[in-house]
Amino acid sequence: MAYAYLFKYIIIGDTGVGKSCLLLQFTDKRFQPVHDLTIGVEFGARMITIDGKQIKLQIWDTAGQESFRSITRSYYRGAAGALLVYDITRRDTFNHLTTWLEDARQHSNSNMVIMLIGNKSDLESRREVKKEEGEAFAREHGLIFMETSAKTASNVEEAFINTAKEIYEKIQEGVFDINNEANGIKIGPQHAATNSTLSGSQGGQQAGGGCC
Amino acid sequence: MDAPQANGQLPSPTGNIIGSKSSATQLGACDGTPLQTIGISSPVYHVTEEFGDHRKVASFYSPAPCMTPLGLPGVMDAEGRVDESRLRMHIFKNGGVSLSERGQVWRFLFGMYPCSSTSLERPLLQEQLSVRYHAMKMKWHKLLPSTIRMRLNGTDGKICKIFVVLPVKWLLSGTFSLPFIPLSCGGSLAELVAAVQYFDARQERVQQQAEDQSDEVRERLSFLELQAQVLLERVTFDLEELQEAIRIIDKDVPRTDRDLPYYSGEGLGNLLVLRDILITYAAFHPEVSYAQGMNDLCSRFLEVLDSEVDTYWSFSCYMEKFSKDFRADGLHRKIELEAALLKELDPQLHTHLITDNMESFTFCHRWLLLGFQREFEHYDALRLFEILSCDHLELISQKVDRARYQERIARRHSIVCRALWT
Repeated sequence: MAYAYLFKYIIIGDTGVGKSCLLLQFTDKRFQPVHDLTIGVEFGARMITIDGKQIKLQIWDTAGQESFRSITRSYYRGAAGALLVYDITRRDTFNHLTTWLEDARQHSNSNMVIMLIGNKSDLESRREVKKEEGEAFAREHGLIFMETSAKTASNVEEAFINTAKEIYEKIQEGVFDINNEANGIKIGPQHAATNSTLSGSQGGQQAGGGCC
Repeated sequence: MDAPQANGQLPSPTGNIIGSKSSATQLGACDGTPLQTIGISSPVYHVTEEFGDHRKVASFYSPAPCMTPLGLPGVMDAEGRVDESRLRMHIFKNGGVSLSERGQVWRFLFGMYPCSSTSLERPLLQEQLSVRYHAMKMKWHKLLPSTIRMRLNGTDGKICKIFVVLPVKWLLSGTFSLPFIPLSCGGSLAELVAAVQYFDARQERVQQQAEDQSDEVRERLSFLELQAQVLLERVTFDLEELQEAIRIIDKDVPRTDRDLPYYSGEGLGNLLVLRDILITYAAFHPEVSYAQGMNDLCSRFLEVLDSEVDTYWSFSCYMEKFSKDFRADGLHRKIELEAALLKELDPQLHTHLITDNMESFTFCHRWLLLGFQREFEHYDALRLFEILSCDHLELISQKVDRARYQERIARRHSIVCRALWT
């Protein structure tokens, strides 16, 4: 399908925080409580609309375990956005954010937009990390923040779309060099065409699990 | 008996327990019992099914008598020794073996049984492997008693907290009140209770079997136990590391192959068996420990072998060769080789991937780590894994290399001879 831009995203965070579930909820609109753990990297894609432009999100869902961290680092390269995920019911996943963030900052381009996500917000009774703590961490490190639930789909669309909006704004401001694909942005075939033919509504169309 | 290695890793079963016929004879001589009689009186030989027709969880010992001859033509001799190159060639040429033969074949293919062992020696080997595995498991049980039962840190899904923390007796006796059960357990509670029940009953059964042995067998087993304890005495654990590994194993085991019948319904208990194997492996191989993906690999060994002890040793043998895949540098190297191979075989596709920013080839990660387990239908993937593991092509190319080398030597030799004579 024709698109104006393609944004590459990566999803990072400790093992078991719900990275793959967030992706599945976003691309397929479903929740699968028990599914195979991610080995290496898996891909998802979906088309969204921002400012009347079709934007394809190409999402790289990474494995969270330490042993393959040095391989995961190579995925940061060429990503325009990152979703950094922790589990609000597990304090340790919040404590590890600094390491993840350092890693991401060190191996990605400096303009990469990072969205901090506190997932599993449906499990309020088991909460170990207060929402305010997530907000404070995001403020301190210049990240966007949201609490989501991949199970109930709460805020999932918003998390992916708000990140895209932020990237899009940066493009408008001329922060991103869109001709350099290492920034994780590709100009699509539709870009040259007029944008007046497109509706302003968001989301909807899905591009399945393909990666390109 | 062998001393543990400096890094705390135990020697491999085949290399050190019964690597050759002579060492097997020595083992037989250890307790003064003539080797020939051991096979028949071995408790392991008699253990076929622990739950009769109703066995729902993998047995601790081998479920099949380890003296059953292999049905493959020309592979096993009259004493039960296996011609390894014929076995590998058979697997390769026939595209794997039949389901009914797979379990027995894998015990040779992955090296749990040395191909040079005879059918009389194998029950003894089996006995020793069982005793040693049990002692290894007891060692981490003793050091980390809180981890004996699975702890699920708030994971949703069918297996949940109760699976673990609470003994099944509490559940059954009703001393345990319902509000503790997370709602997500819902309809699968009965399955859960059954799974834990089978698992616990199996543990008790193993205990009972040990108590029911004849004096002679018990004496021999206690000698083997002593031997195992001496061997394990000097092994030390980094408890913090091990606990971290257990935490990840507990996170991964519930999401392993849940769509396979072997691990669903009453087979849920097999996940607990898988857990014990993975923890024991991580504890005794600290340099490898546990990495994600091992659960997938180990799970297929358990499904095929249907025995805890045999799965542990077969998996360990497999990992001797492939543990480097679970380190980033090892896998990186494999991915690089893959890219180089593609460049050679299909330069056009290689160029296309590079121009499309896929030059890191990291999308091959899972294919290479799990041997295409998730890329094919389950039974096809099992066959493929078996064929890839038989290394037939690699062996042939080694043979060719050797022949070339010998040819070169012969040529040089004849040149030297000619020079001397003229």
